[in-house]
Amino acid sequence: MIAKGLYKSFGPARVLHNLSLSVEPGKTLSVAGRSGCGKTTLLRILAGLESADAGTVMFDGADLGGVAPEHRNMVYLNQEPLLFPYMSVWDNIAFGLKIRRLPASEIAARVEELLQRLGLSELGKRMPEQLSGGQRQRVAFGRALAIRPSALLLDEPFGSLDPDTRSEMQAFFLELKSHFHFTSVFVTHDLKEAIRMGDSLARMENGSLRQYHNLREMVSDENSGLKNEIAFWRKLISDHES
Amino acid sequence: MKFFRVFLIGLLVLPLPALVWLSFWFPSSFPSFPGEPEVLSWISMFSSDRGLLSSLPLSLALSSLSAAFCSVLGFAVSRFIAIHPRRRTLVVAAYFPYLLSPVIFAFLLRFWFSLCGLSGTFMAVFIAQICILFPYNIIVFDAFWNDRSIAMDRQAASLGATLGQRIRYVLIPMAKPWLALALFQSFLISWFEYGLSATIGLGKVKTLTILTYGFIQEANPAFAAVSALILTLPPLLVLALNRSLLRPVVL
Repeated sequence: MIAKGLYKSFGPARVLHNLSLSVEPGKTLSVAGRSGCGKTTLLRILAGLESADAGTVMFDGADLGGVAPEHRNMVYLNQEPLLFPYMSVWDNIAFGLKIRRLPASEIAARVEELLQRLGLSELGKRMPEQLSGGQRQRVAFGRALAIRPSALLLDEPFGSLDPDTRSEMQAFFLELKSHFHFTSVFVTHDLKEAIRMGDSLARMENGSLRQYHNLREMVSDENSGLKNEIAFWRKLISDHES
Repeated sequence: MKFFRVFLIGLLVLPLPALVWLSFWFPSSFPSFPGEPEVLSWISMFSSDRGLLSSLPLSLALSSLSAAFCSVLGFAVSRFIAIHPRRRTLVVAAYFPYLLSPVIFAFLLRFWFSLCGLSGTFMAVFIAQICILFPYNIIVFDAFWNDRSIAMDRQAASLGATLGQRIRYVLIPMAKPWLALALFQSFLISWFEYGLSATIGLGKVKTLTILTYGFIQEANPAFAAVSALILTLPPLLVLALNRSLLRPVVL
């Protein structure tokens, strides 16, 4: 996935400014950045849910300009799981398959396999309001992965979870990634999460994005905040030891 | 809570006994109370040329058509407005017909209908009612299109659903209580509407409300009561049918 020279403004507010990025197939690009730096707008443009004022988005060599979101096969995952409230867990996961009119037997097989992998085999008949936050997010992942997407665009997907569930979901994401080998852009304001989730790293600030070649380069960037983070933990450890 | 519910239902059905008394007992017994009942007013209303047999189906057709048309159109257009950069301006514009008195609004519309040669026709009254009901539906559905429902729509699109599939499988099930409310309220507004229909219809399009008002003006309380009772029944029926639909969906 390649984005080149993206610009986006909402009225006088400049949100993206000459933004470029690239993600290798099957890899995850973590994008760290503060709230309001344009991360969500970037993901929406990649998903086709928002149009850029200028710039191009390419996937697998094809220009996605003008391609509607429903034809991109890229699933945008919000911080909120956004499960359809009147559908059971089973029907939520089957949604993308049903609208593609796949044979019932194939839908059943894919949904059952996903339910098992998501650890939700016993919860297929439950309604979304009967699930915990972590379970809902798992269903949202299942619903996205059921359609075998070309890419996942994750907008702080674990942002609303408590620390324990968040850590559990991070491990769950890595497990899914090693099994399904999907390409993804993972947006978060948590540096630790960005490093844990990403194969490559980037940082957004004021609508611009800097993509790092490796973690060392990100650490050496004074603006990334990683040096401060490391210094904080080092001090805490040394205080604790002394 | 139960008391409040009983109180509300009581308020709703309170006028009915008075109307029943007026329609059955009033003609022969007034001023004695309750007097002997008789069905003359009812027979006369249905058998003679009082206009009821033409007004009832006309009103049913007018209210059903205008309510259904405006609810569907209002839902579709409000979705477009919800994602429009000038959303607030467009929603405020929907209040325009309510800033004017219905009579002034009707007077303005009549001028244009006269130019088009439409005045005094069913189509003219239908279009005039749409001018009132369509903005009302925009206002009702604006409440449905919050950040969450827009995000749901986008989520479904991202999962591969076309606009038609999103409307059918995501938006309509979510908007069911709003759709039921809009349909029901639009039917009621149209059903009881008087000033606009009378001005645009030029007395040629006699809805049941106009007919009832005519009996009241003629100082014919028995016929007015029969007509008013018939006028009351369809809304009560629609309300009973809609009770289950009006339950909100937990988002």
